[in-house]
Amino acid sequence: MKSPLIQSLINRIQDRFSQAKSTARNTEAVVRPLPEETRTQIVQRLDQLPLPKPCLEAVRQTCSDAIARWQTSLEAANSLVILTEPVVPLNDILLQSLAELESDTLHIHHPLKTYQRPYDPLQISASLSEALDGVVPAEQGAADTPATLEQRQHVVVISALEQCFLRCIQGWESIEHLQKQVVHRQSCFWIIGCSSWAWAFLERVCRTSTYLEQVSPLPKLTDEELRDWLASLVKEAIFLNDSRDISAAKAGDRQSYWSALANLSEGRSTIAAQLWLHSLGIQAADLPDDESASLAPEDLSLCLRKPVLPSLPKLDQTDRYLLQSLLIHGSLTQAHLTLSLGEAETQVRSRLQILRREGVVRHDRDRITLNPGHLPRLRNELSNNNFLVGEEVS
Amino acid sequence: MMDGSRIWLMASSLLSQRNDSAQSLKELFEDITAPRLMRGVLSILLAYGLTWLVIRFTTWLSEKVPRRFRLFIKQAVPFLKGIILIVVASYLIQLFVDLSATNLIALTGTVAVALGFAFKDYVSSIIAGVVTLFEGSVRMGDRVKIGDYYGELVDYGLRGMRLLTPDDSTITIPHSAVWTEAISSANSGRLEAQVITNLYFSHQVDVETVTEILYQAAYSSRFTQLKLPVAVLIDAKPWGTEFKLKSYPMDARDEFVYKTDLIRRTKQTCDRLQISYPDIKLPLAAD
Repeated sequence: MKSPLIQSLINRIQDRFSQAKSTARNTEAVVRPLPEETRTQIVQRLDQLPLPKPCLEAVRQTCSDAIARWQTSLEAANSLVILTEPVVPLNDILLQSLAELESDTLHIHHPLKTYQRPYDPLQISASLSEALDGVVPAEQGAADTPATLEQRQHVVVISALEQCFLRCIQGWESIEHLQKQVVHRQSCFWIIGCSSWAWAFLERVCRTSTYLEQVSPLPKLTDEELRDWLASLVKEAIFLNDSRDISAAKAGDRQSYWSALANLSEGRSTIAAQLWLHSLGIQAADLPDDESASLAPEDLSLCLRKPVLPSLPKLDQTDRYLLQSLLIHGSLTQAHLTLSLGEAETQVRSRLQILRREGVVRHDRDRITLNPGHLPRLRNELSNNNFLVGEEVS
Repeated sequence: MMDGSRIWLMASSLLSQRNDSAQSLKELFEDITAPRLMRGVLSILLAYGLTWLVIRFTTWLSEKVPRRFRLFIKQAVPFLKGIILIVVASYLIQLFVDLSATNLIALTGTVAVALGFAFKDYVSSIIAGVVTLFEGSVRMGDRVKIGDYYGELVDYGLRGMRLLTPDDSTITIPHSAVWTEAISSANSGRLEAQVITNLYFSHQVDVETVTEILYQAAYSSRFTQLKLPVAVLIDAKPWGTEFKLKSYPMDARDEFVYKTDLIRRTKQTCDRLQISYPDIKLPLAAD
């Protein structure tokens, strides 16, 4: 991983150049932002986009190999932790990729598929126990022998470990309970999805890696993989190297665009999708005279400007504490966020309102999450301010 | 009894010596002309302005940059001020003094006598300031305790340093205090400083439970620097059990809000778990 300072400088220089170039008069004259309706349609399509296949295949392969080792060796670890960034939908990735591993001899259990932290953090441990006891087969008590290897048929999936605790006093007793379960129930294989931020925190407070020793990062998507994933959304796009005007755009710009996108998004689909959306524009000539006219994306020739990371608004210390907490837990209700910060609810509510207005966080029903496009810059910002951050997973 | 010729010779010799020293003093200093005087005054004003600018700019910048760079910028201030001072002093000496080898010896003696008698304390402070700067026992931005005073070191001048106390007062302490006073620096140039939070419970409490609560209070505080260790120490007192929670906030400036956060959340949990506090009967004040 590059040092946060170097990464921050690189981002700044890249932005400086791309922003300066973006304002080049020629490009500005011919490329306009997408009409709101067209943009909404593209956002809807993005939401419906299937998960990137390379991610699903990589997770399936990693899990399959780890399960095979556990089924054939008494010494093999009975758990596997998949680490990724807090903005990646690991829950869905695990659900889809492991579905294909299900067979007569391998039963996949998702005891926390629809799990949400109870309002009272002291109830997390009890609710987790209840959920696990319902599906996880009880331990026989007999010592493991080569003969018992055949009975290793159950896989328990906990797709979001960050949802199983809250940063407050007695808030991670559930994790300690889970650690004991993993150690005691050797006849089950445990696949645990976790964000790198939650992992870094849990490692400090309850030495998680001592119990969950096998850790594998979710692989990053390459520029080609991102291109294949996103290209289906629009019929045709003109790739603009912003230093030239639209008539000079070449096919060679295509490669540099996807490389820049993969680099800035750190190979994460959700971040890449945000940057891609942000880079979309439309030729001024294609805009109808009637602004209210409906424009379907497939009827348009869209332009892709050089992707840039969105700038963070000016953050104060309270915002940084709030965002760190949000990143540790992935998503939180306002009540849980208040508890995890140990601050007055009015204070948290007002800061949240500002951050939401600035587009840094967003509300999904009653849950608050980070806008994925802000993650790379925010990691640098927090790291430079001496916060414990999740390492960039690679 | 001396004869007249001897007296005449001695008088002549004394007069000649006095003429020599007046002559050598005249040779020591350059002619003080109006343009030269003007340049001297201008250079002093320039130095003053530059020093003011350095302090203002570094203070502003250190509060704008991410906090991991804050102390680095603040610690540069004494050196920048020192450079300005040395350059201006050298220029003034070169402007007004003819520094030949003989003059240098004469000047050193004169200056030594002047300093020895008139500016002893001032010079002692300056030397102590320079020594402290290079020893690094305290640095700009540190949380230090000198004598009875505790606070953040916010300015490092020629004669003394300024502490900003927790109640927002500024205390100026002469550098010469380092010769006699014990100096304690909580963070020694780092962003984090250990904070010790004392909590008291009755003898009946389960120390394991309380220790665990204290650990969790520190680990779950938004201010805690999790990269640094947390420790709980226990001591038995006649009236109860004393728990010392040792932990580090991410920024030493948050020391007091951090301590408040730890105590508040620990007490909330202890109240919920009905953990008892020492039952101390305070003696009634005499009427």
